[in-house]
Amino acid sequence: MLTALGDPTRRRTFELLAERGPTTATALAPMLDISRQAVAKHLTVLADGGLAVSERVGRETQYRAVPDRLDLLVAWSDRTRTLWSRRLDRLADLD
Amino acid sequence: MSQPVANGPAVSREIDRPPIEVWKQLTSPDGFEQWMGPGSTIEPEPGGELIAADPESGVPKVGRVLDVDPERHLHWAWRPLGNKPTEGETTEVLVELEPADLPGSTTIVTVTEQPSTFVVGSLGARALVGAGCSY
Repeated sequence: MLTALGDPTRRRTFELLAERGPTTATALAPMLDISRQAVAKHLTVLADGGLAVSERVGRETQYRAVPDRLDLLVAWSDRTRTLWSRRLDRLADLD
Repeated sequence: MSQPVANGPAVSREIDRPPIEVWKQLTSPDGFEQWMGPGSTIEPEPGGELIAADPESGVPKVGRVLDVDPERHLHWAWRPLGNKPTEGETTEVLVELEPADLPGSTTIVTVTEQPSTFVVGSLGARALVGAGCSY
């Protein structure tokens, strides 16, 4: 799951999906300041990684974030901060 | 390499030592092992190998140093040991040092970790086994 979020633009794409609900590559492109094709590629990677699902609506493909994946990301962020807090506490305590 | 962009959860701490000493703690063989646990090693140059016992998580890590700017930043990618290189959750860690005041007797250390697309290949971890780490 984390590998799909390794690219900062892709991570931002996922955040926007989670914030905005079902949307398309066309709608997201101006928000990310990249081409529609580039967004479409990120959305495909997110879908392959299980972070998003797609549905054909008319002529466009609509994507939405898988809700519990955002929870996983939040949990990972919290745990990461906790671990670094402890590691830095030890660094501060070393002579 | 240009300054890496920090983009993920971050933690800062003020350390009561000047940047040059904190840098030595992070990048000298003894210093890194003292910090990251028995058997930990680091080659502090781009492409250098990194092995961390990492007692905080209880999961040893293997990784590669990506970028080094002495006394300013250290950037590495690592993943839990035991995961296959293509499946492991590789993350990038950026450690930034900043003098907290003049004349630079204390240091603010900021660490940011973020998911990575980097693939850390298999690395020898005999140092960890030798130190009695089980994984």
